[in-house]
Amino acid sequence: MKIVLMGNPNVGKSALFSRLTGIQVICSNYPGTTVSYCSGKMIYGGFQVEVVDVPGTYSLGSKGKVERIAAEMMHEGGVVVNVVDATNLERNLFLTLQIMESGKPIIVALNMWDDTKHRGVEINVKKLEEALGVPVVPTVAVTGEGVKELVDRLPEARRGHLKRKTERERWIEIGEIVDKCQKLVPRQHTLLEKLEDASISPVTGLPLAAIILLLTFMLVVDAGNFIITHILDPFFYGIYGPFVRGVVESIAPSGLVHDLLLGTTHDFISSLGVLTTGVYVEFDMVLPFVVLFYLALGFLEDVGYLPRLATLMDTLMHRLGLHGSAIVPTILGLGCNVPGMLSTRIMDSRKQRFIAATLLAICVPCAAKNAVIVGLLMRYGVQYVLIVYAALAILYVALGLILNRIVPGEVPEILLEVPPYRVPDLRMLLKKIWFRVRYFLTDATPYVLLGVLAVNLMHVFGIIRAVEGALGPLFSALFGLPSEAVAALVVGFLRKDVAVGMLAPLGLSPMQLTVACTILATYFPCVATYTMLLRELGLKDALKATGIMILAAILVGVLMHALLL
Amino acid sequence: MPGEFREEYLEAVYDLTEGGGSAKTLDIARKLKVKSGSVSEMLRKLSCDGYVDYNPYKGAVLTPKGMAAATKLKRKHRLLERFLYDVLHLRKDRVHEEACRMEHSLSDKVADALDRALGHPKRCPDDGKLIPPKSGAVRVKAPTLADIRPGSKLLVTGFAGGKDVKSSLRDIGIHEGAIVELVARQPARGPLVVKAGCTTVTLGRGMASKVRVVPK
Repeated sequence: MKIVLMGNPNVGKSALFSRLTGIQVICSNYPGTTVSYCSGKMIYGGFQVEVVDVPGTYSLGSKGKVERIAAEMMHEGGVVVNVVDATNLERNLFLTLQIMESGKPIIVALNMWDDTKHRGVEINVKKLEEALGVPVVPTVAVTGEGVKELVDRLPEARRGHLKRKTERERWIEIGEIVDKCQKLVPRQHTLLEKLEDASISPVTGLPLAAIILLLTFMLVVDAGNFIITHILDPFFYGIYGPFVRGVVESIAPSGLVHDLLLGTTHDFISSLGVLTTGVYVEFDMVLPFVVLFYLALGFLEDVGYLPRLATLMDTLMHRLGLHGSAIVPTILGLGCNVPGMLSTRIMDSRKQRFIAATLLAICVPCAAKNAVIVGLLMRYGVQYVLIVYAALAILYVALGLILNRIVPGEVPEILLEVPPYRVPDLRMLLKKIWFRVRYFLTDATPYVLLGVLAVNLMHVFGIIRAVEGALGPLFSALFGLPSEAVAALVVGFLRKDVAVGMLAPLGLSPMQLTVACTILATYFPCVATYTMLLRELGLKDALKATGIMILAAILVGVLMHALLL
Repeated sequence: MPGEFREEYLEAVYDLTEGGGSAKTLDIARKLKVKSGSVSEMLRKLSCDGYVDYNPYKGAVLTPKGMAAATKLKRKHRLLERFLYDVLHLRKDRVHEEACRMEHSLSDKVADALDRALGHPKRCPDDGKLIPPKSGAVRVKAPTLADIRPGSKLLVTGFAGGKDVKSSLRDIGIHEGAIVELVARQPARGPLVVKAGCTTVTLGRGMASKVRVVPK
């Protein structure tokens, strides 16, 4: 048997999926979190049963790709668990009726049941069950309330005996059902609702957005630096360093193994040993920012702020060939470009996906890049950090304006459901952060360690020197950087954070470092992101994006060289 | 007054041009389930009689005379729907077809009597469209969501434009007869934020200009 979870966007299908299967998937308070389906197993009555989390859809028509995929997946399933937002019964029932007409056995999970009380919605579950003729179970997937009953009643899932209807007939029937089963109680506007309105009107919303983004940035940077200087640095310099040095030197007092593991100098950043620079860059310089960024992002996501930001940014984004929803891949990309790339699928047209993915790969620095930028430049003053971000922002807008002109295709308008503000569930939030940080650790760490090892080997075999000799003069002429910096840029193809270790000891001026950081941020995403880019865009468009990327990076470098150095 | 067949054409042109623009031959043919050849023939006749302005390449629009005739028909149709639903208690989804058949034989006198007997109803039962008043020969262009100031409550009376827009909006809770509230308007032709029931939706200006509303 196969159970498919279906429902409108942002009704809590993924939360229920996690509850049923124990598999952690990302749930957030905005539509389109699940862009591809997830499947998992649950034990039911002693048997293993497959559970599929289908991307949210409003109906089973043939309007978009998502609708068609959802319809296909429904037909493959044995039982449909239709997840319904109890605070939005009328609209959600349209899909319910469509599923019932298809003849699939169905059980309805009346989710967000806890929200109905303070939203002034009263639903008579018994009557609703009678009216629909299929079982209805109130649930709160986030906390797990009602999920057990839902599972217990799975065998009661029934085919809805409905003949096919026209859209108009369906809405009429829904009207009758809702009249019978639901009462709306008038009530005062709550504080949260006032905040909802204030954060989406342009007059109050734009300043609020500026404050929220600035606070988030400051929180991540300041708290990150605090943790690094007061906790991690003392640990690495006082305990970890002497320890690994002691261990390695007792085994290999000198020679190649020693140099590969510990590097040639005593400094953690520039020694380029796998166990010194590799571990230090990853866990001391980058990890705190990753954790803090995901904490802030997770909070904003679960509260439901992102769709509001998307609304406020839509006017600008539309000029760039995108629409407001593109804010989601952009912000996710600030953590890691890989999930950002995946979420470009929420964009409607191919043109929009191409522009969103290209801009993401070029202009949106991930947490590792951000850590590099902050780590290298903050010590010289915040203004250098700001120059890098300003350059990236200008590039984002300028490239978007140009791409909108030259890329053929449509730019559909935004049509986005804005969910109510919700108080985040702390456990869900922590789980999500852990899920993302774990992904970062397992996916990035091997690349960093391998990268450091590769650089070391290239040093030993003289490859770096050869590259510097070949490309150095060109780079110096174009970007005003010393030829030693070339090696760092080359290594940056693999991992940006490794490149820090190579830039740090060169004694560049703050401005030179600023230029190097900006180029480092633009010219190539990491290998993992590039693989995603290939997968999402296909070879031809990915090559186009790469061309644009190289051109943009050179142009930015040359311009900054001319203006700043 | 033209015959039953011609009345159907007038109504079709009325429906297809409700949000502005002209009614294309092909769209009329699809709507009435007839060949497009017969449509152009009939449109030429209606044009001769002064009911429509017809251009084979652009389609047809109603002349003031055509508009008056079509509005009268719509009034009869919607009054009949009201009668069938309120008095005879027919099912909501049945009244449209019945009214379609009856409207052509209803005299103006009986229509007025029906209007009085029903207590001058404002809207038809099945899709909440406005019933034109007796004198309302000429229709003013209905305001759309894009023309309204934030903060007001509105009744959605209809849609102009493609089926896809209509059904996407309907999916998300904006349908004929729905009461919506305009929450915010982003500057520089940015999107609008609309509340429909418990749902809040952001939609582009272009889409919003397809949603016809009246203040509630």
